[in-house]
Amino acid sequence: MLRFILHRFGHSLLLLFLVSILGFTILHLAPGGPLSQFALSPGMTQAELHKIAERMGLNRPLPVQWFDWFTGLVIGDWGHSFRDGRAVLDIIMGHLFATLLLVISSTILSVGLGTLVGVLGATRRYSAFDYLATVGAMIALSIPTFWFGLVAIYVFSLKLGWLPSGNMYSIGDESVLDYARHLIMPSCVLALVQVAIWSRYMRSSMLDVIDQDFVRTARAKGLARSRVLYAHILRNALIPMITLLGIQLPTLLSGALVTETVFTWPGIGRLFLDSLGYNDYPVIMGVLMFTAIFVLLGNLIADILVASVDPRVRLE
Amino acid sequence: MTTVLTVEDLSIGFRSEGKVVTVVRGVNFKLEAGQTLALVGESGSGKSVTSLGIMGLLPPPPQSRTDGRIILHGDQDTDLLTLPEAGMRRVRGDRIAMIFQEPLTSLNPVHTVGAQIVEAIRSHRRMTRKAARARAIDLIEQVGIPDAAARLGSYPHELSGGMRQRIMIAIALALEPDILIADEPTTALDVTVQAQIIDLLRRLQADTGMAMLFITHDFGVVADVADRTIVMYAGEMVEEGSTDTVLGRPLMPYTRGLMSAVPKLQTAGLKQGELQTIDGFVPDPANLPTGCSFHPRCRHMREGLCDVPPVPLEDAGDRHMVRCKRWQDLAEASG
Amino acid sequence: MMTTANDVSTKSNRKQGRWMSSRGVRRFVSHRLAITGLLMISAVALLCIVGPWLLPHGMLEINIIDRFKPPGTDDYVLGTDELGRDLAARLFMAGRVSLIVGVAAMILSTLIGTVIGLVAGYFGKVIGTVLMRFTDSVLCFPQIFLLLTLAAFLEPSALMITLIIAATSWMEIARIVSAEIRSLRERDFVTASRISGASHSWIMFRELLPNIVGPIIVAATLTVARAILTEAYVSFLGYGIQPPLPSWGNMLNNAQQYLDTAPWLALVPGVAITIAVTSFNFIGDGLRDALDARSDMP
Repeated sequence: MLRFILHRFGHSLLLLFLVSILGFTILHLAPGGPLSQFALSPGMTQAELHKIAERMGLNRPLPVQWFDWFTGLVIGDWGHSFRDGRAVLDIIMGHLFATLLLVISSTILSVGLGTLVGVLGATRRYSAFDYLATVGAMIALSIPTFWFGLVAIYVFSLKLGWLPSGNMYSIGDESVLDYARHLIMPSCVLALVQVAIWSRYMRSSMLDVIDQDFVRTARAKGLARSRVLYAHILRNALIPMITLLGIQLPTLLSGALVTETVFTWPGIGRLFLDSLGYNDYPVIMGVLMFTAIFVLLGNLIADILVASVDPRVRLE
Repeated sequence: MTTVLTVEDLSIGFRSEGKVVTVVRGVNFKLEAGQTLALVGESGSGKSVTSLGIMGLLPPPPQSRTDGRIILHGDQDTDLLTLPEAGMRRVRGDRIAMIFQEPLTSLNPVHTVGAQIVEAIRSHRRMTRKAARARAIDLIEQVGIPDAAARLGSYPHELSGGMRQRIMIAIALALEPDILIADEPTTALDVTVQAQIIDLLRRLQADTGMAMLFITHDFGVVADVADRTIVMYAGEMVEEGSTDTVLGRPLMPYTRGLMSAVPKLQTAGLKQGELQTIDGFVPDPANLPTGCSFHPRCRHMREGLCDVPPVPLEDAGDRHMVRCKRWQDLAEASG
Repeated sequence: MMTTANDVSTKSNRKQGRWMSSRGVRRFVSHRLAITGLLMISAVALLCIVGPWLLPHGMLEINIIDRFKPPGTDDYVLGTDELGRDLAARLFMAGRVSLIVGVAAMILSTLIGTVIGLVAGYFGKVIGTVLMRFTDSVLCFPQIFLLLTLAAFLEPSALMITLIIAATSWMEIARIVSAEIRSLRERDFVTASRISGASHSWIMFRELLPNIVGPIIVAATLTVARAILTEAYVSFLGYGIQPPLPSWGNMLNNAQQYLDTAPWLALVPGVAITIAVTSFNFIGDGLRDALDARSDMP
């Protein structure tokens, strides 16, 4: 178990290294590269730029520059925003809560609903329900999240007036209930795709387990149908789903960006898009790296969780 | 002898692409307390399906179809085929228990063996968790696993195949069933372990007086465990009798063919030179040959005789039944 | 005895390579969803190709007096936008752009993914590990974030957007191909080719590749679906296809502002995207049933 965790940890470190190289490469794709932040300031002369480049160490060999940048990344020195000069990591942390609130609530929703649909589909294989769930999931996967958000706003805010069309809370009213009212639409919209994915994988994971010998043993012991389903089938079928949670993180974050845009939700997706509009490269790079590291950590945690609930896990 | 189970005219079919394909036809037998009945045949002969039919573990109708009667004797007789699922659930594990071929996959990998034994006990008996654990330790000792208390917390993957099969046996015996169905319990194990498991089953049967239905394709095992033997082919009983009779004087050519695969039996019921492996394959149950199902593979086949129905199960004396139109001339020829 | 069994399995493997076996076709045809998808996407494509010629207004024709006409008014089948342009004309032209970008991005990303997966799976060891870890590290970046960063840093044009979408969506195919190749690599027919002195590239492209055409086609079909969606996302956010060239995504760009007064501006392109993407997902699902029996994944 410990060996397994160390192995996964080492794997994550290797990925972090590769991710940082990719990030560094992208950074140099920016017009003017890392120097661009100064190139955009008015009244900057070529000579001055050159001097800054010298001071920033941009004339040194690339590996050395990468090393500096990577060290900064690790120790939390992520640079400063062009716009207001604040530390990038601070800005990101300021927007993290909103994104986590959105992402976690929609994950709870999609895991709950997706598990239900998947289990029902698997236990009533080829029934009308199973067929509808299959087709429904494929259509749900085909609907653009932002458009679904627009339709939801049109129906529930503009026509019915039940729910607010955006923001995280009403000014002057920051009660939990008010947060909840603002949260309903964005988290449901973000959950749409996730429910579809989760229910499909849940169904097939259930079907993988349902025909296994130990399920027959459980039935031969005379266990109640519900006990066979929960203690034996579902318990085993959920294990690979933990890994799926990690794998789906990038999709979830991408979806969050779009959802935050539609619902003016003040999360890191919104921050990212605003920064794109201002060519605020340090923040853009910061958010990009942050999401990648977030995904990396999420997958590491998922692996450790799997190892802790599955007694079979061994180093492959 | 008390009869604990009577199977009468059991037929089992599966629905496949709209048609019902019958894979077990007209099976009759009785299980006696303290005795072992072996069901022998190649894979596809219907022996495992028969046992799952008794346990009520076949896919529910309309995917499968079961006819006949399976009567469980006790204070009152019950036909298991008419019993609703809730009643069947009380029979499974309690009155009739079952162990399977693959000890590697037959235990749930995410629960400890202790939990899996305790669960079996507590689903049928009102018992505290503690009492059930004590019973589980007893059982693990009974099936010959040392350091039983410590084994309670082991996961299946931490045990060897033989140990896992012992745990399966412990689960099966937990509620002292009247009947134990053993579906090829030793096939997946090493030869030495096989012998140990068979010894264990025999010892436990002597202790508890349960009836055993032993399903196997291996006549060596049959000779070791069974009092009576039924040979099945293509879903039908083709020979039945006391194990001594069937092994000592096999009448059906198919039985002889199966036996010749077991070297130590060759001298018993068969003359030198008569040994021969069986060519061809088990027929497709959706497309059985007319007459004797075995005739296309039988080297004693007579056209116009063996391929003409019906081929009844005939009594060769002393409750020795055989389904072969030529058993008399074949017996004379070899006798 | 052993050799015969192996020969048989080798032959059947090679047969699997001929993906359009009659059995595959029959299973595809019997898949009603796939046929529905094929019909839907054919209809959409046909409309996009001939539609603009059948309509009275061009997609750039501005009639300020006719702005915000709801669908069905005068000769505006789907209504007009904030500049009085015919929505139907724009929708069909946008469809051309979105479909072409989607298909082109699929072709590119399938090429990249197949080559990387093939090389990684075939060489295994160091090269394979390095390539697959590289693939994993690209997968760490959420696609939309990566796309938008690249789109913001590079000069946006239809071609550039296609390249960027391809550059951020080849990883799945690479993984599938590499896994398939790794399981095929040790088979007898590969060993036989190697012994008979075939070159690496011959074995990779002539021996191995034909065996995995099925899974690649399935993945490629699903990639078109995703590429169309991705283009819609970035264009909606303003970093994809730039006006005046319309795409289904950028048509929705302004729609949110007029949601209350002219909801059809948002409704129509969204439905078009959903229909197109659903079609490809249906087709992909049918193809998977027909060509790639193993998995039951979405």
